Formats: sequence, structure tokens, C-alpha cells
Amino acid sequence: MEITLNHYLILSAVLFTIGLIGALTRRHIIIMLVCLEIMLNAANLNLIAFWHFGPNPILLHGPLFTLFTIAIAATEAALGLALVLAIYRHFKTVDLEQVQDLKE
Amino acid sequence: MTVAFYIMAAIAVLGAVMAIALRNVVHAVFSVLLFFSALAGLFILLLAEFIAVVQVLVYIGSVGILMLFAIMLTTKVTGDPTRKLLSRGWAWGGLVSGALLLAFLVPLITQSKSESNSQLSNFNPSVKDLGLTLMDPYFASVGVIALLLTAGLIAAVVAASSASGE
Amino acid sequence: MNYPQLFLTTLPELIVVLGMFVALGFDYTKYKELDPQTRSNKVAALSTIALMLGLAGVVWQFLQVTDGSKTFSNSFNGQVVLTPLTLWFKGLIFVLALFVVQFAKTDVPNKHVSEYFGLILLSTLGMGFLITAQNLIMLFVSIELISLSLYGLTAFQTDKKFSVEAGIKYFTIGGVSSAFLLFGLSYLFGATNELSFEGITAAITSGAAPQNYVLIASAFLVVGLGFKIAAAPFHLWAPDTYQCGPVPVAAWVASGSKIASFFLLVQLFGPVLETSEQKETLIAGIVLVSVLSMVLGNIGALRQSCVKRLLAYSSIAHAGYILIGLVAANEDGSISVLFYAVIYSLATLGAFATIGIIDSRLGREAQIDDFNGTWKQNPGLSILFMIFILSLAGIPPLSGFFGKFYLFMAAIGSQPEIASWSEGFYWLVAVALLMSAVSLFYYVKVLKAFLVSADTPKLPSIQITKAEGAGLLLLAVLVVYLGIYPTGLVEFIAASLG
Repeated sequence: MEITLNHYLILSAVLFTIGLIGALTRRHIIIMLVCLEIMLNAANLNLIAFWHFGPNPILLHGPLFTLFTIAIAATEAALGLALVLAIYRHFKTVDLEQVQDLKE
Repeated sequence: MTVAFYIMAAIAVLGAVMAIALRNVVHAVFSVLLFFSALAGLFILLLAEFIAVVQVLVYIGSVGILMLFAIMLTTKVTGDPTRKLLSRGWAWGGLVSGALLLAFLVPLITQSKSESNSQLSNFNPSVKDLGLTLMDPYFASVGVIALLLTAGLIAAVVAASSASGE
Repeated sequence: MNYPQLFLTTLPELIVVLGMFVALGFDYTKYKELDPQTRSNKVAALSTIALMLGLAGVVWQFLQVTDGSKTFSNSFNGQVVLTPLTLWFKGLIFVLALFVVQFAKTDVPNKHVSEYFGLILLSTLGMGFLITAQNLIMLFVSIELISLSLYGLTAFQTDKKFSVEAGIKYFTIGGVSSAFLLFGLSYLFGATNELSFEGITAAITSGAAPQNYVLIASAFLVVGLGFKIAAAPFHLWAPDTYQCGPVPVAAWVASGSKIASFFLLVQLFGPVLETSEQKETLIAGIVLVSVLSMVLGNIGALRQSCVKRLLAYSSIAHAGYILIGLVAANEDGSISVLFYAVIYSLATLGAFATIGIIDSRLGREAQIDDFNGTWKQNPGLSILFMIFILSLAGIPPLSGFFGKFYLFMAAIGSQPEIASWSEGFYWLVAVALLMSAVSLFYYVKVLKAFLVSADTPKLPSIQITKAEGAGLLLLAVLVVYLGIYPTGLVEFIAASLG
């Protein structure tokens, strides 16, 4: 069976869902960041797949957009990990559930 | 091609699942590196070789290392077996929302007739073309990316430095 | 590539960036030995000059564009589109940033002075670029520029536990919303194979775009942008961020980033909503978000004793009101959304700034009780605060009333053939009116503490600096002016949209 656009789209939907489940359920902040990266990567896979099977790939829109998002995701990871260090300095833990001093 | 796709897809899903399921944080980061490399493989299958290279350089090369450093600077790596892995009451919520999301997406995706032909076989995009496109119409966005990196740098420096002592 | 053209198009931004680096450079070298407050004054002065020059650049561009000269015809694939409307809003963002800088300089969080103002300037630029962006790449890049700067600003008080906690909450929730946004944008790209809004709108209106992809894209975009405008049920980050970040930053998140996000919503959804086959589904989704925001925001605000948290919940409610204009799905709706975004931002910036001044003099977070009898000690400040709060509440002579009036009329007018109360958007407007009545309760509670309570005043007489006073006064004048004479702005927006 030939691999079609739908195969890629379903794969990326599954990956995005896995990332979302992880982001909702895991308590470790660094794992939360990992889940964010998984979700952004799923979107990148969409972009490249749409570009590959699209009517005018010569415009290179998909790879361009992906280049930008990779740069953004890396910056976001760097800032996120800096925030993790700041959190650890105050709370001595990276467990999101214990970083809950703010009350209603 | 078909076999390669299924192998890569399986590795990607496996890597992602292990990343969110493993207790040991370092193992989780290593499995997400596996996921990143599987995606790089998929990008090669989709004839976006340069993006695959960037993926390896940026994600595996820098983001992965950053994450490992953050783990080493903060926490016990093997995980604390006495402590629960998941947030209280969120495990089922997460699974249910995930199932709902897939139940929303998959039928909609399969509605459209699946495209299997790629126009890409007619021409071979080179890195040069990509670079020229980046510089010609998209130069303004590249400029804003520069500002974004500046903002990220400043914010990260401030967040990571302690304000009280030098 | 026409580089001179690009230079002229981004001239205001280039000036501000230059000013930011000058400020950073001076702060690291010449001002290094000075105490934080002096440094803050100097850096704020530099930032003010940079913003003013940038604003002059925007005004110059505005005059060029309204003259109809061809200087700015090239839009670089929709990356920087300069029209009278986008330039007006960009100018407004710069003006608001000027106010924020004035309010920020008296109470700088720690020794990182120039970084603080640098991040404020960078987020300003991001908002400006978001307003002029009509291209998916530029859209995502500028949204992330805004978000990253604001995460950094929220967590800026690194020696305070709560600030860092609010920062990480904002970051994780914002990160998930960015992922949703990008996933939605990727489907929008897949459906239309275009990156510029022009091409996307054309593909969707002509029916060339597969409807299933458009539906997926709309759903993900509603979720992603819902987070950015703090609409319920995606609002969980807002109360903590507004309460625990530095107050000028909270003011900036509530005003500047709201204007930019609503401008984007109108641009992105406006054409789709008017024509797409998925209109019904999308409108149903937005109505749900709008009702939830109004109910949860107003009910949540009732329970608060911390004034900043109260304003945070009220901002959630206001996001709900503004979405009513969006479901009208016609030009009147777009006009009313933009108009309300403007006056809401002016009033909320003023209210947050007043609270910030009081907080910094008290040295802690102001509770409602702290305002008891402020009227006697600080009549000027009380009157200004009263104007902002009454405008947020939507009391007739002030601009908030006309904003709500336009929103509700747009929603009702969008279905002229329906006359029964149970049909169309009548029930939505009824919910909004009911919730406005509920909101009066907590706004009046704050005002009562200010004006009526006869207890011994807790606040000493407050000295405000000239810059703060001038800023607050100007904001109040604008709020009153737009209430007395709203037609000027409305007609301008209508003329430039059409």
C-alpha cells in the first residue's frame, strides 16, 4: 500500500495527542517541556507533509515555515529551562504539583 | 518507502510514549531524542533533507543537551519511586481528552481523498533555493526572529541569574 | 529584494531596537555604578525617547499611506502590511508602551534594569509586527516574540517565589497554546497551500480549500488564540499572572497584548466567518467560549478581595463581551470588536497603573479594604481610578458603555429577520447584559471602599511623580473623550476596514 498524505496526518495527530496527554498529566516540569517539544514537532511534520503532497512545492513554503518554528521551539526550550532553574532555587523541587503556593 | 515509513512512524510513536511514561527523567529525555531522530528520518522520506539536518543539529544537538543539563542541575535523575508519577486526578482526564482529540481529528482527516502523488519528483529543491527564498521575500521575518532570540536570551539570563546575590 | 523599501517599512521598529541596544549598552557600562533607581530613570528616559522617535516614524508612515503615495506599496508577501488601520493600531501600541514605561520606572523589580525595559520594548515591537502581519510565518514569529518577552517579564522578580511561580504557569500554559496555534496554522496552510492571508481568504471563500481541514484549523486556532486572549475555559493562567507579575507588566499583558490578539482574531476569522461553509460550527464554538468567559469571569471576580485578581477575572469577562462582536460575523461586528479592544485597553491600563502606584507605596498587594477612605487623602487619584472603573463597568457617559452598546447592536443587527427573544443572538446579548449587571456589584464594591467608607484611612497621602500623573490624566481624558465623541474613531475604523 502506498503511503499517502493521510498516513502522515494521522501519525502527526497521534503524536500531538501523546504530547498533550503528557503535558496534562505529568508532574515533572522538564517532562512538560519535552511534551511541548513533541507537540511542536507534530505540527512541523504536518507542515512538511502538506508541502510534500501539495500542488506547488516549488515555493518551498513548508520547509521555510518549519525552519522558523524550529528556531522558535529551541528558544522556547532555552527560556523554559532557565525558568526551571529559577523554580528549583525557590522550591527545591521540579514537581509542578508542589509548586502551588498561589491560592485563590 | 512504505516499510521505511512504518518503521520511522513506529519509532516516533514509541519514543514519544516512552518520553511521557518513563519514571527516570534521563531515560525520558533519551527517548525523546529517539523521537526527534525518527522525525528527521520522516523529513528525509518527505524529501526535506535540509530540514532533517537542522532537526538533528538543533533538537538532538542542542535542545536535548540543554534538557540533560537542566536535569543535572536540578533533580535526582532516577526518579523517586515513593512519589506519584502523575498529577492527582489528571491521569484519566488526560487520557479522555486525548481520546476525544483523536476522535475529532481522525474522521475529519480521513474524509478527504488521500493524496499520494507528489509534485516534488519534477524538481529537486536545493538548499540554495531555500536560502534565496529566506532572504528574498522572508527577510523581514528573519529580522523578527533575531528580535525573538534577543528576547529569549535576555529573559533566560534574568530568569536563571539570582537577583539577590552576585 | 528591495532593501531600501524594507528599511522604510520597518523604520519605526529599527529606531526602537537601536534605542533598546543603546539603553542596554549604557546600562552595562556608564551607569554600572549608580543605584537602581537612578539607572531606572535614565534607562526609562532612553526608552521613552526611542519610543517617541518610533512613534514619529509611525506617524510619518501614516501620513504617507493616507496621502496615497506609493512609498509602501510592497508588502513583502503580506509580512508587513501598512494600511491606515494597521498603522493607527501600531501607533496606539507605541503610545500605550510609552505609558507602561512611565509607570514601570518608579518601581523597578531588581538590579536588571535595562533588561526590564528591553523586554517591554521587545514585546511592543512584537505587538506592532503582529498587527501588520498578514502572513502565517510572520504571525507565528511575532506572537512568539510577544509571548517570550511576557513570560520573561512575568517571572522578572526572580527573588520572589510567587513571581517565578506565575512565570512558569504562564510559560507552560502559553507553550501548550502555542503548540495548538501552530498545529492549527499548519492545517490552514495545508488546506489552502498559501501563507499570506490574501491567498488564504481567497482559497477559503472560493471553496477550493477542503472543508475538513478548514474545520480542524478553526478549532485549533480558537483554542490557541483563546489562551492568548484569556477567554474561559483557557483562562487559568490569567489570575496568577496578573496578580504576581510586576504590576506594569500585568497592565501590559491586559492591554497591549489584548489589542494585538483581537486585531489578529478579526483579521483571521473575519473573512472566514463571513463566507465559509463551516460558519455555523465555528460560531457555535465562539459563542460557547464567550458565554463561559462572561459567566466564569464575573462569578470569579465576585469572590476576590485582592484588587489585581479582581481585575484579572474582569478581564476574562471582557474577553467574553468582545467575542460577541466576533460572532456577529459582519463588518459592524469587526468594527465593534476593534473599538471595544481600544477602550478596554485604555481603561484597564489606567486601573492597573493606579493599583501599581498604590501597591508600590504600600509595599504589598492592595486588598479592597486598603482603599477605605482614600477619597479624603488622595482625591485626584480617586477620581481618576473612578473613571477607569466606571468605564470598565460600562456606565453611560464613559466610553465603556458605547463599546458594549456597539458590540451588542452588532450581534443583534447581524440577524435582522429574527424578532423573537429566544432566537438569534438575543439570548446571548441578554446573558451579556445580565452579567454586566453582576459585574456592577464588584466594581461598586471597590468604588465604595474608595469613596464612601468613613473609617480611618489606611493609605497615607500618596505622592505621584509627574510622569505617572500625566500618564494617568491622559488615559482618563482619552476614556472620557471616546465616551463623549466615539463616532470619530468608529468611522475611521469603518472607513479603513471597508
